[in-house]
Amino acid sequence: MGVQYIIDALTVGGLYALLAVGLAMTFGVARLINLAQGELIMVSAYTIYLFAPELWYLAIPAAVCVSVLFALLMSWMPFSFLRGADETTLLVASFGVSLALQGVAVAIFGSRPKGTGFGSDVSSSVEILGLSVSLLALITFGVVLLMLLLLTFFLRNTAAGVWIRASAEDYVMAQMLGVRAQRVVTMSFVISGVIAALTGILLTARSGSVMPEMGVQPLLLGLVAVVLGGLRSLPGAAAGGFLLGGLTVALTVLLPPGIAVYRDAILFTIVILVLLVRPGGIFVRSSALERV
Amino acid sequence: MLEVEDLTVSYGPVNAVRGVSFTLQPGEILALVGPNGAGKSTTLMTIAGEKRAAVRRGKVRVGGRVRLDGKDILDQRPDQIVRSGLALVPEQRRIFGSLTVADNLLVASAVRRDKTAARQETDAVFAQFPVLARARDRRAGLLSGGQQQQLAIARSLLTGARVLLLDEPSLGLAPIVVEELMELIASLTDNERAVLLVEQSALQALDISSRALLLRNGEISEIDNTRDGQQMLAAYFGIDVVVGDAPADRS
Repeated sequence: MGVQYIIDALTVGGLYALLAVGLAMTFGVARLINLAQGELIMVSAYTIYLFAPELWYLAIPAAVCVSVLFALLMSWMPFSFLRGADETTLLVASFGVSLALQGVAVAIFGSRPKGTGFGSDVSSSVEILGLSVSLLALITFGVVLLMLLLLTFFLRNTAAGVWIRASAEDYVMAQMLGVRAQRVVTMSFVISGVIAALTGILLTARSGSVMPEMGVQPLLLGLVAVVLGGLRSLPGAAAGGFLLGGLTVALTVLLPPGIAVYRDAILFTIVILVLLVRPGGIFVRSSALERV
Repeated sequence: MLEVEDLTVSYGPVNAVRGVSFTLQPGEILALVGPNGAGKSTTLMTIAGEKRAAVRRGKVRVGGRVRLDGKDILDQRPDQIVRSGLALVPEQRRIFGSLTVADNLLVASAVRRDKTAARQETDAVFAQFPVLARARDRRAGLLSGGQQQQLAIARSLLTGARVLLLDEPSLGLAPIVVEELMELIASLTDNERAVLLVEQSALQALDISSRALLLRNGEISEIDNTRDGQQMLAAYFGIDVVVGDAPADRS
């Protein structure tokens, strides 16, 4: 059982970490807290719904392509027209995009959850070293780990990754060294689209159903993870995600049955207390550690 | 090389820069000195395109012309201006503290189309700045102020810029570090590169520059960079110093 909880903590934390990194990246590069990121999860989930279960092998790449396409459309409309607007305007605009996409989903698919049959083949358990572990949890953990490793490699070892990290820290200075701002913004939206697609695929496999508002809660948790870890730090955002995931699973395991229903209230109370002590996030940006 | 003609910059009703005109020739160091609030940094940032976003939002008005090798650059984006051959080393350095020294340099060098030249110049930069070579894998935010200033200059060199704008590079640095920095800046023009230097340490800036401009209340006047000119400047700033041989007196 302990191994299962650890895997759950790493899995849930990893998902939050990916979401948080996607949000932190678009904020750092485009000064946009993209509240429509949850709807990228939703569109990828509905893509799964359209293909699964018979064409499951097409559903996954299609979900990624659709999510990336919507992310690119978002980066163009409305955000390229609002380039240079203040952060509040961008936030409200992203909220508008989020509501619009949810409305379109309701109009096309209706507001009730739809069963997909996706993921039923991986809902069983497997035996590992004498322990029974959920296959889906293992797959989720593997996908999250692979994605985080690929993202880390990309950000650390490629010129484009260095540009994104530099732009996330000081967008104007990066431009003054010749970095093309539009390309960096586009790349960050594409990455956030891929992250959202993977999240949508995994969440759909986990729940077996899709609905128009399904991206809202993951988005909120991703936002909390970003704020917890530090909005202007990509590693901090990832660490915040793991911490939030770990806390979530720990509370689920440790709280007595009568109090377990208050798990989320207790979780976010802890987050508030942490932020009272560290309002900038737990993980101080290393650039703040300057010599004096 | 760089021609600035009748440059004006206004923040609402405040005219920060009024009709500034000057030219910068290859191999030249032109010092731009003046009291706080004179418009020196605003002039540099406007030339480098840093004000462009604010102009688009209507918060800043810019007029006049800026030409680099005959090409108008005033309406270009900052990254376009860099690719045209002009780079700004801003006040307070603005290095990417969470990136390593090597990654800071890579931000600039990776933008270049000629990757071979970029690699060769990166090697040359590490040879010219041995301090940076020793600290290449260290997080830039942990460097000392003088080291960060060297990194900021090295980074701008790697953009391939032929015109460097340096905004108060000595700010916050110890006097001995400033001396070494001025020697470094003087060597930047070896390859016909031109430098426009804004400095609080006016007399030290005059010591390495071929010409100097005094900016007061957004308006410019040329300083005679001779011993008499330096003494006039010292009197203007209220500095009581022994003035050494100015470059114009040395020939």
